[in-house]
Amino acid sequence: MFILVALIVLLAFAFVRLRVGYPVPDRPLVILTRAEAAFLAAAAATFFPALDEDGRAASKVLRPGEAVDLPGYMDDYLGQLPKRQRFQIRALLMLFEQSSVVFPARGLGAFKRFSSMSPAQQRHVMHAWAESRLYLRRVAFIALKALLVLGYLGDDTNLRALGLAPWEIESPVIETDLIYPSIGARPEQIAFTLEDLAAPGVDARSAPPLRGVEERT
Amino acid sequence: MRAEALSTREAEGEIRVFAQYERDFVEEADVVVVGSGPSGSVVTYELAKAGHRVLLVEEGPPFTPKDFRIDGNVSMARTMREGGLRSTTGTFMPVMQAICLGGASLINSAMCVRPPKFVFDDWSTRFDLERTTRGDLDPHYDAVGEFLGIAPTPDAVQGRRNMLFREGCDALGYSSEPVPRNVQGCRGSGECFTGCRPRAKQSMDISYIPEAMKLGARVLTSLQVQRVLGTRRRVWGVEGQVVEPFTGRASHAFRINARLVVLAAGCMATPVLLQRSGDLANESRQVGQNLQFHPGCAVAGVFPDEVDPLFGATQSYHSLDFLREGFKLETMWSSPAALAVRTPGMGADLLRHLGELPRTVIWDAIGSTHRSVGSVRARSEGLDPVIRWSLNEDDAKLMLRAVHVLTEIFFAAGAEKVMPGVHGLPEEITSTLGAQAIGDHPIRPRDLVMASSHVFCTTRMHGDAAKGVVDEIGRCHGFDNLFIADTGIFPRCPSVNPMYTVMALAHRQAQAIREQI
Repeated sequence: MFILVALIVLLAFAFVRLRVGYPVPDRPLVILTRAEAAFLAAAAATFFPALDEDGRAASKVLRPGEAVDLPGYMDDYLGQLPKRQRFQIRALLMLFEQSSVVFPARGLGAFKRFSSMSPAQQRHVMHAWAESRLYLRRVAFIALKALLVLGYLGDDTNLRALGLAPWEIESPVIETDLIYPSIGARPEQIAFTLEDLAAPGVDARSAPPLRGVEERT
Repeated sequence: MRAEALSTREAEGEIRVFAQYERDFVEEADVVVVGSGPSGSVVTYELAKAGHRVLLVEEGPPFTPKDFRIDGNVSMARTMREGGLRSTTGTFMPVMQAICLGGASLINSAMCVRPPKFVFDDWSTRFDLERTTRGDLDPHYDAVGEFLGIAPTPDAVQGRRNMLFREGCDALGYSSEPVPRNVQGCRGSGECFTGCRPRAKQSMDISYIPEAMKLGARVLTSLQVQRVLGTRRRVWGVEGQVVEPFTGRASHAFRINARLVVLAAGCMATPVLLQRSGDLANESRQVGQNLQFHPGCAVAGVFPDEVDPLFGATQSYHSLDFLREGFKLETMWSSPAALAVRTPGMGADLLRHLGELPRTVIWDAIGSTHRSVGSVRARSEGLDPVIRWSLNEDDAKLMLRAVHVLTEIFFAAGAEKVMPGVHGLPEEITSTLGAQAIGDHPIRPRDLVMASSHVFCTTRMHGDAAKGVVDEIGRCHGFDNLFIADTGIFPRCPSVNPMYTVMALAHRQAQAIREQI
């Protein structure tokens, strides 16, 4: 009887911890749960804050993480991954969201979910992962950071602000464009004809202009 | 010399894509080639040129510029196996293998480098390979080089970030040179890793494969080969399923009957395929063993002024000065987001570093880590492998030494700070004096952050059938009609970027097959 009660209490705790109290995301998500979206939003604010620890703007150039739709980006990205890798990434997000059960933060509410902690606690938790003596914790942190940075700079506004937005390039039509359909299409749907073929040696239009560089002597 | 345009002649070849498969099917060919990367494409072309009925099978789809994605994350999810998230166990290291027509050539940086003579001398003596000297292979390199127009990258498309590498090497007295690449009309867009929108890179899908089709080769994409059909001494074809691009969902079954099978599915997939085919060609117990990589470590340097990093060929300057010591140094560029992944810090500190990206240059080192050996084996289901590999402690010291040299080159080129990206070292080093700390650092293998797309040796060549999987022409020991053509046949890592060498070996193999059939 005691075991049964303990099991029920444990399950109830797990349910509340994993599911209850998460806000509704700003936009409908296909793959991510509310918990995963809340973690991503909180992690974005931790990695890419609006203000530094002294209350000044953290960056004069880049947008804060809160202004970038990281949950939306990640939802789209996960949709393009194979099932196993999708599961691995979602497990990674939940590992960080719930890690305070094993690796608590500092101060009051040290065992809260990551998304419910104070900004100072969130910073502390992430630093602990980054600098951990446990190799696997550091690897998990690197993986999470990679995902977040890729998503953050996946936002064109940030790349434009840095002057690093992709080139405008119009690809020249070459002979294989007459036989390879776009992915998912049939050959009959290829719109190019012989007349569209670029002359041999024609460069891509609007490609980066060549810079003058001194020849090596 | 390439033939006239595909669309202006009565091409005998064909290409089939996923949308065209409507039922289970059986095909016949003289030769079936599994995998359309650099080696499979060369074999296909050379055998089609000799008049054989060749069928090239590829699991991925052909990509057009419309299908490329500039976002590095999304691009990797679409063009790489396991969504670009494949990694080793043991020492964690992301490893990248392509799944697309043209294989890695679609999304690599087109570096075509011949290994120095001492590499082949080492192969010959250690692995009883009498006819695999540099001199033996030079005619094959020449043939491939002429076909693809391989040439050193001109200064006009180097861009500042590549030239800085040259300046740093010059200042320290290290040799450096422009990288020979398989490109024609490069504009320095730096997009090699996400697909060349200007169509300058001569990836296999727009070079060897269409030329092979003009000669009658047939190319079937979206086919996942799951089994090689054969006995202990002879094979007669392959079978598998049609799979949808990106989702991998199976639709129809297929079988291809052929007199000869060439496996060019890649160093990870070929051993798994053999294991899944009743442990074929594995009397030596070497299939899936001896796995080696060229692990890569990237180092970032921040310069006082903007370096216009978007402009310039992706990887177009390198130094071969340290090959005997065990590493190669090269420049590097990718999508800014992908490069920013290795930026140190968090919070305002991270944003400060990201704000420095227009002044940041990334260079990398690849190591010949011969002492770090792993294995590949099939999972309980599917064709994705379990990859076990651990970095040896001496090889970790080698990689740290490479990071140290790169740091010195950065300062010699005028960098104001360098971010070595090694756990336990300062995140930023601001002087050559500070760089000395790298040399003194007690490195552990797990302190390094590495990645690799150069994979070798899982079906290695060896003159002794008891010690290797294939002989000197890539024919499986004990078989006369089963060949392997990918980098799995390398007996050791080649010290330089492997694409040119695997194509030269494939060219030689095709000659041998022609004589055989």
